[in-house]
Amino acid sequence: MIKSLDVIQGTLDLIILKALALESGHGWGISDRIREMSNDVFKVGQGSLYPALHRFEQRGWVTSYWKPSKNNRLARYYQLTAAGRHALAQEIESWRFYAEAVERVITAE
Amino acid sequence: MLRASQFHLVHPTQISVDPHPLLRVAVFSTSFPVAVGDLATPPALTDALRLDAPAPLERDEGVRGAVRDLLRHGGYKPTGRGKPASEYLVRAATEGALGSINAAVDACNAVSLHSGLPISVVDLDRATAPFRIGIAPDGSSYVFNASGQEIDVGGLLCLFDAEGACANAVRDSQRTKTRAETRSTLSVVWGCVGFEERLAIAERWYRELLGALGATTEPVVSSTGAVA
Repeated sequence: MIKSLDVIQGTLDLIILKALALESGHGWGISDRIREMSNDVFKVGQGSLYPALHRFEQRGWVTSYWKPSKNNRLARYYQLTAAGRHALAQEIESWRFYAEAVERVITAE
Repeated sequence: MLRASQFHLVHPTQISVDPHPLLRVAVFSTSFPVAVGDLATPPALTDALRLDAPAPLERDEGVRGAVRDLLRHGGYKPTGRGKPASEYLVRAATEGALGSINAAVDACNAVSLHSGLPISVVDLDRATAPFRIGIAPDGSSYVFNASGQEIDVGGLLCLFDAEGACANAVRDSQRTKTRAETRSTLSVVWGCVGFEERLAIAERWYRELLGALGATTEPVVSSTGAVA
């Protein structure tokens, strides 16, 4: 039985953008949220998460600011921009197109 | 011909840790996107170098005593000028002398200051694997500053690289110290038995700060299973 997976290559941006669309957050918080949203199936390690967040910031998909978290841990928070929401919509559309194609292939007789 | 971008520094993934009844340690490697000297410190991180800054941990007498006990275990005397580095940070912050150096050093200092746990950082371009943590034999010493001053590390828990002792909870060696040009490091958070949760929070916070600065961190696990 599959218990936990690294996020499949190509879907990382979609998953992080979706987590940020629900709520702004800091790195570890985003990682924890993805794990919870996927019922503990997806793990996004720091080695993947932070480079993606920096890439998003360079593309104007997120803005960031520093502040202490609820437990006083200084952290960098990331917030989705309008451009980020647009990118998320495109990522979702691409994923659905891809997933439906895969489904057609595996159910073909 | 290979271009610079084609080189990939292989970071250590394992470290040998000698059995030690009081030691709990977290070790990880870090790759920085630019030289640490060019890593700007956000104002919020500079603020975290104040003793009264919000932090997830508060240093206390309990952890201070436990760190000293950890260093005493091999026969070292952690007093006077041989105090744990975390105690120096507290004194510097109290005197208003703990200023910003660069974002990588500031992140380390902020976590050490508030957690009360000493942290060693070595430049992976200057240190050579394999790495080991253990007590240095009597008579060992190394230079710890540019002036050539030496610390006697005999009986002191140290990080060793292939050439010998290179860092500990008191002072890191000049030989492997980070410089403005540093691009990759090995960090050792020196924790103690009874303070495992503090160590976990300190490591997580430290790695989160480095990640938010654009660095990538990877855990280095104990090959001996002794601690960590």
